[in-house]
Amino acid sequence: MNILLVEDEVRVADFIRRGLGAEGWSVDHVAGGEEALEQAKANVYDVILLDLMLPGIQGLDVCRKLRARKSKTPILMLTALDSPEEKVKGLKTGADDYLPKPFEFDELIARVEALHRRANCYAKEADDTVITSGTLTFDKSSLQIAVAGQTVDLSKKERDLLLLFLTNQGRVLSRERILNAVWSMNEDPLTNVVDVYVGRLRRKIGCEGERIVTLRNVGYRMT
Amino acid sequence: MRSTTLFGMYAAVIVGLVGSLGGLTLYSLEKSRAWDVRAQLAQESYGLHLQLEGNLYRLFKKYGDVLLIGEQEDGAAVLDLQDAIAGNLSGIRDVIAREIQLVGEEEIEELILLDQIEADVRAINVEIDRLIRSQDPVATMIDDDRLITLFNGDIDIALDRKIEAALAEERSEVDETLDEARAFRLRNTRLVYAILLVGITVLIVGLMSFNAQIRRPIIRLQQGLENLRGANYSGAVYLGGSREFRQLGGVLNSMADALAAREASRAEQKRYLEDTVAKRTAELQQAVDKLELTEENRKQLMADISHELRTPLAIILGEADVTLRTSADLSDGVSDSFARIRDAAKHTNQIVDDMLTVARFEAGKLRLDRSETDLRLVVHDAVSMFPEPVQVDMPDRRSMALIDPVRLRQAVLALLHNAHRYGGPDIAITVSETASSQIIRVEDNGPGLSKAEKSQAFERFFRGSNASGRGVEGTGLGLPVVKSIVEAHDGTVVLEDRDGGGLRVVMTLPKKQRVHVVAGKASRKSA
Repeated sequence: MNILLVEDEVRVADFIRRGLGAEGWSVDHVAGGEEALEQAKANVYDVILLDLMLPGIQGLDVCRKLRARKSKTPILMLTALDSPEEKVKGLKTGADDYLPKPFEFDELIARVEALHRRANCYAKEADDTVITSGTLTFDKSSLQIAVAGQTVDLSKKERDLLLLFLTNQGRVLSRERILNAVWSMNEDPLTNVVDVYVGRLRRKIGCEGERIVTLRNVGYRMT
Repeated sequence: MRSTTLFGMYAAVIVGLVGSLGGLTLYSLEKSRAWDVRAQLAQESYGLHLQLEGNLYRLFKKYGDVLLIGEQEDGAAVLDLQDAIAGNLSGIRDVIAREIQLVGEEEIEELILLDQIEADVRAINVEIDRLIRSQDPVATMIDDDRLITLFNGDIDIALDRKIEAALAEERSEVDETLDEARAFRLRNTRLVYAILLVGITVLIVGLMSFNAQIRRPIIRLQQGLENLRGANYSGAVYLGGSREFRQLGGVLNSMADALAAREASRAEQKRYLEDTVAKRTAELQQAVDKLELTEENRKQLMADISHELRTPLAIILGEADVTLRTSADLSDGVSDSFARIRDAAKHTNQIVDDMLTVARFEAGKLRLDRSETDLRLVVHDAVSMFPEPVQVDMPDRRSMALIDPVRLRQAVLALLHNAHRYGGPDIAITVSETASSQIIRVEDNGPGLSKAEKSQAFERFFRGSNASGRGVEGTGLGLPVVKSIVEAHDGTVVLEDRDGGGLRVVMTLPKKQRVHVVAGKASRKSA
């Protein structure tokens, strides 16, 4: 995925670039509105991350100009101003989503992915009915799961959890994100429900379970 | 001069002129009537003289016949003629008497002439009588000459002359009268012309005078009033004309002066008022500008706080987060340290958010995105986002309210977190309604708060005795945020002691419409 990051604060841009790069995405960073407009004209991006407070052309103007050019690239606004008025103004100008600073990195990733998925109309995911990874196969239509040919019996939550890992192989999944995706909860849970379920899933899929590694203080990742 | 005097004068002159004309006419009528009478008398006198002459001629003829032929049988005819002559004479005398009555003494000579004629006639009668009685032819013959003389001389000629004289006298009288009448007419005509001339002169003078005394003052008065109406008080008006107009002009001028003075004082007042208003407006504008500046500064401060705190927090949080995610070879100690940095940044951010919520509410800027929402749904969402078990007691029926569901859920969740952090493990939430309000209660079985603590609990960064030493981490802004949100909804939030220990927080939202309350079943949610 190609991402254009428009952010005048270098230290913010730095960790965002590193974080998104770790997800396997390529990030172009520009510090001002004019450069952003030039870059957006010269390249094709899947998502644009746009800071609102910029030197020169303001973020809202950049957004307006991009939309005036009939650009349909999803825009996610990042700003330290989180009053509802600011949010409404941003969304009315043509932004697709709005994330106030500071944000948890997980949320940024989830939103970027959501924007990307929405822009591509969920088309690619629907095609793959059977996912194979190592000795693990997951048939999404029949919900049959097998490890090395042996059928494994999983509960619904365990199936959803495994599907999440399989579709995000190599990526860090925080507990919050897992909770959100599987249990539809948004808030910090103060609970170990994720750890309990991940432990169960590891046991059930046997040797493949070792591929789910725990990242201390972050969450899990399926290699 | 008064206009009454003026009009009186004109009236007197006109009455005089008309009167003189009338008098003249009456005088002329009288005069011509007198002339008529006189001419008539003259005519009558003339006629009588002619009759007298005729009668005398016939008498003398009779006498002649008697004397020459001696005829006596016609004595009666002579007597008749004598009577007629006497009648004629007395008629003439009567006419003369009337003339004298008419014109005065100037007819006396006529009377004298008549007396002579009468005397002559009487003398002739006497002479002839004597002749007739004598009967003596010689004597008669002798007397013939005398008779002829008498007839030719005395009677015929002298009497004729006298009668002619009388006739001439009458004719001259008529001529005189005619002359007099002609002269009178001439004088009369001149007089009428003179009167007409005077009348026209008086009319012209009168018109001019009316123009100067009445019409011009009225026009000037009209102009003066026109000026007054147009609020032009500059030029004093001189009306002129008669005394009343001059007085009216004086009144008008003093009125104009008074009006001008009043106008001037009003203009002065108006200017003063305008100045005052302008001054006050400027002061108000200054105050408004100052307020706006203050408000602008406050908003800017909020924005600055947001930006200046959030950006470094974003960097701290982001750096810690990304480092944890991307570095596989961190030692446990370093990893934990990064995690603590990340969690502290999140916590600080929560404090900033809560402070801004409270500050916005206190500035009246807490924006609510209200919609008609079922309170049970709000409570359900909050409970589902809360990890600990909560006993929920809600009505079976919907409990609709015009609220901001996100903000209200935030408040409910904050209360649940508070109950968990500072209270006991038995947390209960109930939704109920009264006729005028909707009530959400959150209870715990913890140590509760003392009366003094309850009164302080809504102050920022207050931490009760129940929080000390338990290692619980809150922002110290939970209740202030709840209070801000509930009061922004025009509701109230109070702290009460729960029966059997613990704390109960009661949020009351005023209700717009009436909904019946049905007590619901208790249900227990577990995670």
